Amino acid sequence: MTPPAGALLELDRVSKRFGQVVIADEVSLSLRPGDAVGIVGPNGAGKTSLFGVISGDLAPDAGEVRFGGSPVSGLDAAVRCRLGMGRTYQVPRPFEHMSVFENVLVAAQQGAGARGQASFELAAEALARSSLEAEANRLAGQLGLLQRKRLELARALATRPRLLLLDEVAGGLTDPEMVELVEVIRATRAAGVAVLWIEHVVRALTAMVDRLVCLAGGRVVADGTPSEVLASAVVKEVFLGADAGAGP
Amino acid sequence: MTEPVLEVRSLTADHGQLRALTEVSLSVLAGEVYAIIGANGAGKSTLLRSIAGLHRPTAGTVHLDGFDLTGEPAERRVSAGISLVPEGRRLFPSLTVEENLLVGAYRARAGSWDLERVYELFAWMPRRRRQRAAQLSGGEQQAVAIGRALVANPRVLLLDELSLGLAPVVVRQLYELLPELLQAGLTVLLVEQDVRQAVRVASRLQCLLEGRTTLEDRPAGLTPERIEAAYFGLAASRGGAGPEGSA
Amino acid sequence: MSWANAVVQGILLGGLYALFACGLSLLFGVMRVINLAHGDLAVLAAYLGVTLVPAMGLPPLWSFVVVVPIFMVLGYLLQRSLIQASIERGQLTTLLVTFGLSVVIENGLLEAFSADSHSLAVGSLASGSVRVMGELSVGYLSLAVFVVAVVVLLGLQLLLSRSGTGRLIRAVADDREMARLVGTNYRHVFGVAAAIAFAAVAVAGLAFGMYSSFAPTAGVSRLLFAFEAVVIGGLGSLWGTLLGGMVLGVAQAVGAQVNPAYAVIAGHLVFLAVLAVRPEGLTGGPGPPRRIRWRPRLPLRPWSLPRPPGRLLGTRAARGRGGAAVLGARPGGAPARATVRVTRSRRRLGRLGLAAAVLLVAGLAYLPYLVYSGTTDTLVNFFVVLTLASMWNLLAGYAGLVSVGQQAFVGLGAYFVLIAAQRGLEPFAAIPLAAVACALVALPIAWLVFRLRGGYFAIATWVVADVCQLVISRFSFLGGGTGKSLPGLGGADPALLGAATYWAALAVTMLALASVYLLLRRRVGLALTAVRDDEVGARSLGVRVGRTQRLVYLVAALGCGAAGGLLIVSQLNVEPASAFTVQWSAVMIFVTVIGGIGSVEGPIVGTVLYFVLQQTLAQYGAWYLIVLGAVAVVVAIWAPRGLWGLIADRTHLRLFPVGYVLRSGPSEAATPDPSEVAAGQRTAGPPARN
Repeated sequence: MTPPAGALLELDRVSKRFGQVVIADEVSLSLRPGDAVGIVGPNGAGKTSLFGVISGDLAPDAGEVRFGGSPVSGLDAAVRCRLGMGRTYQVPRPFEHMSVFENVLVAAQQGAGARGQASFELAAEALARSSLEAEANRLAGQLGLLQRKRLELARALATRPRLLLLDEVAGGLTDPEMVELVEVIRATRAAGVAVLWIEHVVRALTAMVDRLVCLAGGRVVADGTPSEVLASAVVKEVFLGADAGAGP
Repeated sequence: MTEPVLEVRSLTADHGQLRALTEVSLSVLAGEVYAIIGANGAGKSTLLRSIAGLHRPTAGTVHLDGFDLTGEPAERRVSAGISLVPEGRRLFPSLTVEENLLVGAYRARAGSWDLERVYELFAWMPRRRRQRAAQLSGGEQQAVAIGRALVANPRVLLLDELSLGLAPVVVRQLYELLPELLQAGLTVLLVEQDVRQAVRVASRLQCLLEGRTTLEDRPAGLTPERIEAAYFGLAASRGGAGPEGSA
Repeated sequence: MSWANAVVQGILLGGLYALFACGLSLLFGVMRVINLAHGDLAVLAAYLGVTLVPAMGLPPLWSFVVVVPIFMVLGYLLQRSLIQASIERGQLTTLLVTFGLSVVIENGLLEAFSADSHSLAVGSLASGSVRVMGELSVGYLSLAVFVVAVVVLLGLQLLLSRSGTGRLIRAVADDREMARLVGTNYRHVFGVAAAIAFAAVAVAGLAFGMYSSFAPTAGVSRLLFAFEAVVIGGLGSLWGTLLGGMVLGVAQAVGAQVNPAYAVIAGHLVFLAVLAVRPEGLTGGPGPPRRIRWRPRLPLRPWSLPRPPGRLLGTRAARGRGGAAVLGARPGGAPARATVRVTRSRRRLGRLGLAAAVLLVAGLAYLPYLVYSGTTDTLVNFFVVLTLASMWNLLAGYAGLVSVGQQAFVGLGAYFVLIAAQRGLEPFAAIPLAAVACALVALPIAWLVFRLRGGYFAIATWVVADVCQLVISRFSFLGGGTGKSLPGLGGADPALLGAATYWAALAVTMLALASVYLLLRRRVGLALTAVRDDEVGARSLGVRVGRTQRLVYLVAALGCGAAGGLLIVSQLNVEPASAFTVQWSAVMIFVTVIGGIGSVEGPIVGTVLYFVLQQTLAQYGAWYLIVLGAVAVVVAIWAPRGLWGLIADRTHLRLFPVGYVLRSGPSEAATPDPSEVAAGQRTAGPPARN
């Protein structure tokens, strides 16, 4: 079988609701290998839940998720990770009682399937990329917020993903920290990894992605280049309300 | 100069490792609608939760009608006069509409709000009162959540992101209720993502960015540029003022 | 008794079971607590009835009036103190604390009342019956109990659905933070719910006491029946529980018609069938929490998209070739890459530690030549307990599987050795075979019990152990209910036999400890530690949680089976009641919790303490178990990492290093070891999570 050209990740009319509240309403999206796409939208728009559907934490009510051309709807999160989906969580969730190195090592050994010395090298390199080498032997539970975010990223990188799902990694960072983070993600993308990035800090996104998708009320309301999307009236309304600042 | 109903002084609060609020102050006068705007992660919800008692601040005080509420646990603030309509509505899903309202009245203060009055406010509600809360639409749930807070007869009504996940039409309808609530003697402090909506209803508003106040004024004194600058922090004066987050 | 009578009897009995069950499901529904002491509390209520009421000079039926209020107060106080404290620390702690309570109550009753059975005399009510039609007659007492059950259930249903208190309870169960925002002190509401649940337990216990005779050990079966009624009927509705109780009652009555000894096992089999086919129960409520099974629709390694090239994610790293990547510095090119070095322990104890261990083992092996057989016999028991504790530590401390049913494998191990010996095999040689047989039996058991999680998983394992006991007791060639002695060792010299048993025990224990240690040192071990901290996070990093847990369950079955084999060889006989007793679980759980759950050294420390305690309190009968249980409860709440945890936190000592320390990474700088960097700084550990 030859690998199909075209989409790495495809969402085909994915719908999800909790009770009466609609999280996703026939959302369709597609990414090719090496793409970098940002997702923006107001809170409660269902962005993180969409990631949950993609990565396997949630099952969609309708629609299909395809990875590398094959449907992954029946597969659990661990299998999807081994197939090449790496993901970070909005609130970092390190293994608190293990050291930073061990945290990343789990990812390298399980997600990437590496063994022995090779797994050590992979983990160490992921740490180096995320500027966490100095903290390698510290208990993850003792880390501050910034280091936790870096650890979250390092773990995802250590699984050798084809697709990196980033969930609000830039929040709470100062400008220099943000620049550094964008550099790491850019380097990762240069290595051939596709990136799908949810972010509130819009300026972090615009520095890196070539496409922007705006989600509101569970629907895709805009999908294009960053400049197009940010200039569009629809998106402005979503964020600031129509005629922002027009006064009472 | 009248005493403010609600006064928050130099409130500082942490969210685990992150400093969510840094020395935020506000004072709300009786009969006012005071709005707090800001991007996500700005600390708006943390502010409301601290006022409601769900979050313990690291510094600063909260006063209601002159009484210091800062040390009081959340369950005592209802009888003191603060009612929070939380983000995401959070109705009790296995309870019916009416039961949700009844639970809201558990520690009700004396006053004019009761179930009947809430049923008058929302004409569709009496018909649906025996339905389980989980079966209502988002807008209907929001109405019930507001009703649940009202039946406690609060002095100050805290509204957290009313518009979250709701269609603009529904949001408009909900906000149109505000004048009536104010006439009844309520004071409202609300948090809103939709800046336009906030500007329309507020008598004063404050903008938060990464836990700090970047703007406080009456709507009349605001221009679109000022709002955008405060909201997104594009002004040069921000400089190196970032929260301390490194280990 | 005719079949029709049996069925009617079963239906009425079902009411009693439903009564037992409603307290259990109320506690779970409101605060997600599975109260493993539930059955023993019911028995306690019966004992209070039998002692207090005559002492007050009142007729027996007054026991309801006296005991129920006492239990309500007891429930409220227990909830506000111990149970609330354990809820805040996690599910493991809740299970441990309630299990500890169960052991303390049961053994306390044994001490106070001995093992004799009692009953609440209700005179003519007990013997009278009413003829319904034809051959069908119904006992007054059975009818009365059923009516009481329905009335209580109805009352409970009305309380929850119509009253203000019930509304608050439901609201707090839905969302306790939101309940605070409407002015509710949720801890108080929890206390009220517990008081109501305990009242139901008291009524059930008293009714049971009138219906049949009871002894301190009756608590276990009450718990299991209550649990089965809930699962069969389905969580979420009290009427479902009544239905479940009736189905269970009928199953037991029908079983009894076939053969009186089949009653209980018939119920167990129906329960297991429901579990296998429809875990959410007959009324199909939200169902007990169960693991979601994903059916893979594509092979795990399809034709692959090539992994992205590039240094970070280079294909070289994935092919598992060892050897460090050493690159010299290139002028103007990429920076030099140094070797990545990783060691397994912080201190350079390696060689020394190994030598010390070898010496210790050699010393232990030489012991039979030095001491009397009494000492070696005690040490055999020590080794058995140590093996069991290590296995339980692996299960609960690493894989997160809180099993209260490992005694199934202990008993099976003993009986497999018996079977082998009866066929002429040398008993000592049969021990490893018995262990393997236990691992094989564990496969289908795992399939069944892994359909549940948390407290439901725990009780399911207990049911399975009970099933094993009941099944084994059916076979007369195995001695039935009275037991059998082990053939094949009759003519041996006692001293030699004692020594051989000792060496066998030493070998089994060393093997068990070595296996646990080696398992934890490998990839599986690291994955387990990750799962223990955060299962969802581990899954998102590619850890195959289910597969890993299954492996651990099999290993634990192996170890427990070997321990069982040792038992029969050292005692030279076996009987079902003591081979399959839940006391084995009690001992292995308490020892591990006190010694330190989640570390290889913990069970060792705990076993030492256990034996000291046992020797000290030897003449006080079951007191050592009571003290052990109480200490375990205290440790579980206030020192969750046990004795070894306290030691290790202060000294950073690791006798069995299983961690990884990065000595130097790809950039040339050596990585600081926190114990060197943080000299003088107190590193406050994160709060230990269960």
